[in-house]
Amino acid sequence: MGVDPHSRFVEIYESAYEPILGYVLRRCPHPEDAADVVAETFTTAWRRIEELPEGDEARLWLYGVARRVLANHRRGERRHEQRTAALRERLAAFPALARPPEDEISQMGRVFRDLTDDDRELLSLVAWERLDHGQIARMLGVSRNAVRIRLYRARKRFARGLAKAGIDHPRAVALEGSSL
Amino acid sequence: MNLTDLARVRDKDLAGEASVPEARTLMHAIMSEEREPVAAARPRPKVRRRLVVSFAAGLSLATAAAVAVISPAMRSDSTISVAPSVSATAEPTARQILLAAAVAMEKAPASGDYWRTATVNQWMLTDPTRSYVLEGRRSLETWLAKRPDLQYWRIWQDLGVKPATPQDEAAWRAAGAPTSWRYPKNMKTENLFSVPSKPLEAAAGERTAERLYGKWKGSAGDMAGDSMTWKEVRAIPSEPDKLRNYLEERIGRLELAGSGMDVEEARASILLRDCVGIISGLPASPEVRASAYRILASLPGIRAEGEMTDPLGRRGQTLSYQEEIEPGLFAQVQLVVDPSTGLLLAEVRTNTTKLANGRQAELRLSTSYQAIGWTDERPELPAHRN
Repeated sequence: MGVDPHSRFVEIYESAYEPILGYVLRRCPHPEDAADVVAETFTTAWRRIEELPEGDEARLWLYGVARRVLANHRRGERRHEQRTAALRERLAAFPALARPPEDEISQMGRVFRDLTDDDRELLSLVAWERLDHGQIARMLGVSRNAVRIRLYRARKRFARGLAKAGIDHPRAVALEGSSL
Repeated sequence: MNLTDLARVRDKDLAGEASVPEARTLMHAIMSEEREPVAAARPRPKVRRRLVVSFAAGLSLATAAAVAVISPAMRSDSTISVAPSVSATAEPTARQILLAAAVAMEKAPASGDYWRTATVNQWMLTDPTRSYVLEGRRSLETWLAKRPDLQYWRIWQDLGVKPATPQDEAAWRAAGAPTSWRYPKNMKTENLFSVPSKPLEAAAGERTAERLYGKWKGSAGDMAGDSMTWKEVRAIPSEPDKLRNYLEERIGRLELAGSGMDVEEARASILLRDCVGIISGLPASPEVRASAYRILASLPGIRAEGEMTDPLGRRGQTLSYQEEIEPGLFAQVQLVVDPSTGLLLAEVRTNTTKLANGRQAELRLSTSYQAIGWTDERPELPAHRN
């Protein structure tokens, strides 16, 4: 890789910051914690810049890192760093995040939250990150076929959960941009 | 309504966020940090690259060590320092600690009559009603000899079981302060501990010696569960890069597909385990053991947690990493190292569990090393033999 690490990192940071922040915010119960997860994710990218794949693959790589960092944070490894203080404040007051508390979320939200972490993550990657099977496969390091099968099962479980909750809404399961 | 509406924030809400001052500050703060140098010499395997635990792309170990010895604070390249320094403390990094341990390890004795390891193992489990946490301790010495006229010995002693913390002690008293615990066979443990098959006793046991025969004959211990002969241990390459190739080749022969884990990640974590295994118990040369430290120093995901006391109350530098026990479930592993001798003092694994009253309790599993290395001493054999 001929490009020097500094300009490469700046380029990756500028193009991936928003999707990664979005990815983390959508999965973090507290928006201000997202700052630390984003910081740790990009720190990993900086340390391992030579390993980062080219182009859009870099974003998938970063999703993978963010997923792991999030898992660690959920396991209690939460730590507010000095360098994220400003960003934390910004996110805590972010207008788009001002939304009703969790228990006012729809019944569908509750069914979704009751899915396993794996199912929820797969469905989210399609609905929120808009990744296709191939991209999810590369991000998770599994085969396309495995993604296809897992997604199929996750959707079925979600549909079953919705049916049980008395929600009859096929569109909720047929996520846009994806055909099954 | 559909699933997209459940998202807390849409990507379009975040448009322009990458250029706000807070985001720029973070970027500069990250770029002012030290980066791992990556040598161009080592061809990188053509595989999907992924995630934090993926292999450290060939860091030239020798170069890294040299740099660290000359100037531990030296940056791997010239960096822009725009934002205030991230950590202004003098705390050493994980890599500095591991490289210092490597240098110290090279001066360890290279021979003796016996290869001796002496450990104290501590483990925690809940009582059968999950009301409080118990901690058990056991000491174990292993004496292996290259000379055929010397006998192999293993000496152990159960050091007793007691409530783990003052809080557990209070719950134990409230339960009538029992000194023996009988566990139902089918008790649910979430795989965090094994259910004792015999009643667990509070009292310490007798020190017991066992002479090792049979498969132990000519054995120099094991690496990753494989028994090694003295000859095989001697043949382990001592150069860091060669040792790494040797270990990666062994790991490459393992059948890892179908384990449910990502193969690449499983390999990376086995490499880490193998290095810790060499440091904590294989009678390899001081150079091999030093190289194992150098490989650890090149791996991602290990971080320094500062000075800490180990379970036996000794001060050391603590390094930690996450171990994925099953997909998505992580255990925190801490290694306590004495950088001045290069010796591993302790390895501590921490999990948490929920007790019957809802309290989250830590379950720790640790091995503390009192001795690892060559000695001309002889074992003190107790009268009690197995």
